[in-house]
Amino acid sequence: MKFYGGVHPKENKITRNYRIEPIPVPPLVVLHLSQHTGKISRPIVKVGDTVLKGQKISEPDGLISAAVHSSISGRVKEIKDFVHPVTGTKLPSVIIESDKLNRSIHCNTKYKEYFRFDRSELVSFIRENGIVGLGGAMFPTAVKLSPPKDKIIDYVIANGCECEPYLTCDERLMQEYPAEIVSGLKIVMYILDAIKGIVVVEDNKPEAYNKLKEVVSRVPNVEIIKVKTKYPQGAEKQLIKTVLNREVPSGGLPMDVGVVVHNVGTLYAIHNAIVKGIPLYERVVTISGDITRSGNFLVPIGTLISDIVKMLNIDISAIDKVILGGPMMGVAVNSLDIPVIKGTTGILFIKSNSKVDDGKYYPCIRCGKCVRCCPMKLMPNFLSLYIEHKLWDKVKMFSLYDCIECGVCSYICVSKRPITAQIKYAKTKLRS
Amino acid sequence: MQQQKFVISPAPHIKANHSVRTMMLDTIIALLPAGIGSVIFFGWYAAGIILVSVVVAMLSELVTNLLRKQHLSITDLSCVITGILFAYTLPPRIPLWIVVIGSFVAIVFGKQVFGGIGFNPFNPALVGRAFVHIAFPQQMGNFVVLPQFPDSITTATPLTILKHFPEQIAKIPEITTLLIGNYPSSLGETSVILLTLGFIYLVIKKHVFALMSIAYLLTISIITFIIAKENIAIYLFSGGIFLAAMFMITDPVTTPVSSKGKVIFAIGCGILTCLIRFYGSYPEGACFSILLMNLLTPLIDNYTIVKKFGMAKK
Repeated sequence: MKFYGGVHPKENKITRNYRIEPIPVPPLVVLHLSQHTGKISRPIVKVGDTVLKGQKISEPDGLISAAVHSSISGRVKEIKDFVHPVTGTKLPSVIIESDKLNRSIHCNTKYKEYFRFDRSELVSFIRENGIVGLGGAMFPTAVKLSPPKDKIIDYVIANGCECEPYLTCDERLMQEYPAEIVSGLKIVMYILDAIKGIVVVEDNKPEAYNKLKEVVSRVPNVEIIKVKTKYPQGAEKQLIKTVLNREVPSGGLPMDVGVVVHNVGTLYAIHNAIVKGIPLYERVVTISGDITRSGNFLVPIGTLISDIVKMLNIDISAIDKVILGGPMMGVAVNSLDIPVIKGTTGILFIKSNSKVDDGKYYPCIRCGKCVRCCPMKLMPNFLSLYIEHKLWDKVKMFSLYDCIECGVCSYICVSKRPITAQIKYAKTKLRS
Repeated sequence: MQQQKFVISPAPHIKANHSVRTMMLDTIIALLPAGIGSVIFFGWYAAGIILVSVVVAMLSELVTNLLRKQHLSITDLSCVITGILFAYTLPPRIPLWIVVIGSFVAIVFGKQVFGGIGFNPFNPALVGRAFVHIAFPQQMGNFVVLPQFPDSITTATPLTILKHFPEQIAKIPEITTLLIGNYPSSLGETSVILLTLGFIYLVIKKHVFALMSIAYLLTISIITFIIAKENIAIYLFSGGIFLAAMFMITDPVTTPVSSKGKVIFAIGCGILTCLIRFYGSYPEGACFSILLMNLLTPLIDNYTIVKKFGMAKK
């Protein structure tokens, strides 16, 4: 099956063949207490405290929230509000200064043989280790792993599509750690009591596919599927439609059709937590764009982009746009003093394209390209028009809340209308 | 280090490499074969008509742009298409002053008074055509004998013969001539082959929804088969319906957005075209049928909202 719509932007996977390499220990890290969907976590350290790498510094506040761990060893310098990469506003964060010793906590490998333990125990251990969805959405993984009793999950999908241009962090993980990813998938399958696990890879990543296929062939109840390269193939609902031909109902969740989807990066983190006892304090970040020093780097969470630029000696003199995430859904930031968070899939340094960035747009000529490309089968042209004229009833009638903000409509628009941005504006506007 | 300034803009940060201008440019390319054909069939005067029409359309667009102090929409080239399409609907010996008036009306009263590109309810070229059709019926009905057609003594188009002089049916050219386009009729609408050639280019470039044109032609074929019973090929291959099917009803601005809406629109146009052809006073109904259906576009849009993802039954 194929999902409806979609586009095929230029892939630009420059860093595809660059091995994951760790970056040096940064002089300080800024750990946002909100690196997840849901409530801001509560700090459990004080200014002046000494912390180790991997030590928990905040507790989840409520069910939909996640813990944060220190990514370096050192001393808590400050607890203050700092610019958040996603919202752009200042949010509480813990700033830790490195002692350059890089001392780690003692890893708890009690759950190594996870199948001997109770499922709920594993879920709370995952929660303890601060794991969130690493594809960018940062939804607390433990919540996804505890569906209500009446929802029976039969499939777990490992999402290795990585349909955003430029980004290769997942692709590298799949090439270098296929066994760990499949192990993470098995853990999730055990927790959810699922019948089958499916690894899904886009057909533009043959090496990752082959590596994973080799591993999968030795594991029962897990299979691997190659899907057509198309944006947004990696979007949860579109992926389920493609792989299982099940349609997640409007306003519903994948678990409503018996499926749970996890990004391969998240599965790798789950494996690390359960088998090795390593909490989530670092992640693979693709650094790419119009720079010479690009690659896939293992970056401690909280590292400032300015420190990365300094440590990797990236020449950014000609750069006029910095994007956190992919070019389709990522956020452009105005400063380099912004930390990497758990959902930072990539940092793109781009020479601005005046055609895209002059912000000029023209009247809709109703060509219908956005309608034919919208993966949610919405009518973005009408949404754009009605938002422009503030006709909110009409906006709701055209299913504003079903939009997944994938950016396809803005990408394809011949009149260069910023439809996705208008939709985001309307959502915030109607919420208040 | 000096603080570097970075551009902030909403996602997505890349955009498809096309614009209204490239889309219009493709349409102009698609219209070229029929234009070249008209010059071959009707002589250099045809080129003059097209040129005058395009120049007047561009000037009208420019002047209204300046008067309304708006962004120069002349650069998106849509006015060039209006000029070409308007010229294609005219008889090959039309006086140039009528071309000037019609082209001006098409741009100013067909498009700019409504707010320019994207806001016009009617196909501008057809507004111009309808205007000159009603204002100058004498000149518009005059399909003079051309030196290129030594065998033909009629001044009438095949459709006029079928409607008003059925006894002269023998004077209608062969089907192959109708397909090639070398017979008296409006400038750009005669050659089925050349129009289709351009249309295929547009389909490959994904600018038009081919099913829409097919639905229009099919509707006309079926109704013609039921009502006329004979001469179906003449009804299909002469007159303006191929130009209408391929370049008029595929105009995005004045037709419904959804695929379903487009097909409904096309079928409506087909029915109205046949009603005018067989029961109206004009031999050809393509122009007025499309203008009438343009009026229904918002209504069709309202009833053909695409069913969103996640509404399927389990």
